[in-house]
Amino acid sequence: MTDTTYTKEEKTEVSQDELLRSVCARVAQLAESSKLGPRVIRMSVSGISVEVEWPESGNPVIPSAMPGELEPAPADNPNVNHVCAPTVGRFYHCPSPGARPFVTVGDRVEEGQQVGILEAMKLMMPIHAETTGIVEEILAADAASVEFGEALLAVSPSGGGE
Amino acid sequence: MFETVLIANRGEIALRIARTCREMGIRVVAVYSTEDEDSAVVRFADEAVRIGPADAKQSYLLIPAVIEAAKKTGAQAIHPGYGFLSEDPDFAEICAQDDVKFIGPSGSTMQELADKSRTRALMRDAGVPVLPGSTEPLDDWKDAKELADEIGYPVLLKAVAGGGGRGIGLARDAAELRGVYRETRSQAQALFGDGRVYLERFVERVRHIEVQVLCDAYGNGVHLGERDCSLQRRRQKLVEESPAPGLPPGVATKMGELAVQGALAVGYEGAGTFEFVVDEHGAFHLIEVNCRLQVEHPVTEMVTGFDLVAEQLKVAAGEPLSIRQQDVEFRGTAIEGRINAENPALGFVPTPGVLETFEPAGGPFVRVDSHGFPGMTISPAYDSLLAKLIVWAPDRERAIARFRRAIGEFHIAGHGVSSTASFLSDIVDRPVFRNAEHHTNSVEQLQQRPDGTH
Repeated sequence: MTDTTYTKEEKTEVSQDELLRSVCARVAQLAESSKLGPRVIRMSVSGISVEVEWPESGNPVIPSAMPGELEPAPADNPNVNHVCAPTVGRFYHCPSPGARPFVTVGDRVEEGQQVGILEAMKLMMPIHAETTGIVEEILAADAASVEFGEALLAVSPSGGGE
Repeated sequence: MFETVLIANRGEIALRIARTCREMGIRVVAVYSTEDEDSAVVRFADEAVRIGPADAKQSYLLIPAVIEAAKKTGAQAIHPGYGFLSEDPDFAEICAQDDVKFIGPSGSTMQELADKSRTRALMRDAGVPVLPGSTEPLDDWKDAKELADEIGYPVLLKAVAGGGGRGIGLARDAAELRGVYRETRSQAQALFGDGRVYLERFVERVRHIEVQVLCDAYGNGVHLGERDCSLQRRRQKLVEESPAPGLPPGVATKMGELAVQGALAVGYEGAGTFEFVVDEHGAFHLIEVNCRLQVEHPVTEMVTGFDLVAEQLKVAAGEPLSIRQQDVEFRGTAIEGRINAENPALGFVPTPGVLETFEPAGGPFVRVDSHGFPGMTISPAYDSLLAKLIVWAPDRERAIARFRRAIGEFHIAGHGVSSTASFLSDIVDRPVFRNAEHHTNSVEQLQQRPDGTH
């Protein structure tokens, strides 16, 4: 399972808190250095030992929704594309509680634009529009618990929809 | 007791666990991949959560998805079944952190027993016999050779992170050792992501006999007898039975006592299996400990009358063990056969496809644990186990007759689908099995010599 393992041993005079913070920052850098999310991160603070495991064979840990594999989402209109949940978790409309939602019905979205957040085990995953178009409907309520592949948003590429 | 239990598995074992939960009044949550939308356990469960695509790495093995499903459904405990996340110490630890009870031993116990060379050291210290060999990984082939020269050939090189018969190499003499060492290391790296290996003496003509233990969180433990799993093909079990036939008197009891001693020494909690090899003279040595419910657990249930899943649930819910050793009585013989969707004529190649006909056996003292139904798709994404046939009879001879009668009742058909049913019927009829003279290499030998002599 371990494609890459980084172990770092350092001797410093800083406090445990600072240590922990800097270790966290390093781990975050490490995690960002790959497109894939790490599978496991193990840390121990005194004597600093960080172990990061990436999933084998380059499969992303958080799967992207594969519409071909899913039962068709409520699709009365064949022109509507659905943005689906990439894993089980909680779907949020807004970047933070009380903030303006990423999108509302009627908004125009560009391919790759963030339309929401999915939280799984305290990991916040941005949800992006897969096509350019108009938001027809927001199917999952704010803070709703959703399944893998559940339709979150309907986007009509034509801009007409009906 | 828990109100809601999530079953982080699929196939026959998910359904088997769900059945006991239902009997105990526990709400059942199933999780499933897109490939298993229509599975038997999804139909049976009170609630089901789709957790990912067909690829198990992104569904049944994806810890965040399973944990989120537990939170979404309010499950207080997760039963991992066998395979998938059942022996993943990290998963057990994450469950503990998220206040979901993992049904099995603690993450730290599992971590120690997942390292097979560490297991050898722990068990040796607990007074359980282990084969001569190393209790630490051997990082250089020269260390391996030095040790092998000392304990004598042939020797097995085994993956520290291995189990289930995979990642094992046999060196018959000193000349073979270097090559086998290198080969096993790279195989271990590929299979388990951990190339470390250890070494133990290879004993020819052994039987594989394992002991079922059950321990609570308060230091109480019992054993529920043994299972003989010697009928194997390429180290994969085909037929299992309890009790082990033809052992010298007292051996099974001694193995049971030592297994409990070993389990308590490492603070084991829940159901576990201590696997031994037993030679022709009845000398036995521990090879590994499995921290989960085994595929073949029903034979133990049939001869003892205890529902192992129910006992697991009670222990996990914090109840003290209600069974004392003197309560455990063994009645008759139980035999299990694994009916796989495989073609024995083509080297046991898996045969995925649509199951057009599926009629399981019935009748007196017959149990079938299966997720199969007519119309079910046998997915190429998962293992090929389709059904387990378990029979009970007052003695072994009648159990074999009953097994053959029942397995003949199975009708399994579908485009491209084969099963191992008739192969199993044939193998238990061989004199070597009937006379209980079989060992772990018997099936290979029988396939070479179809008259069954040996």
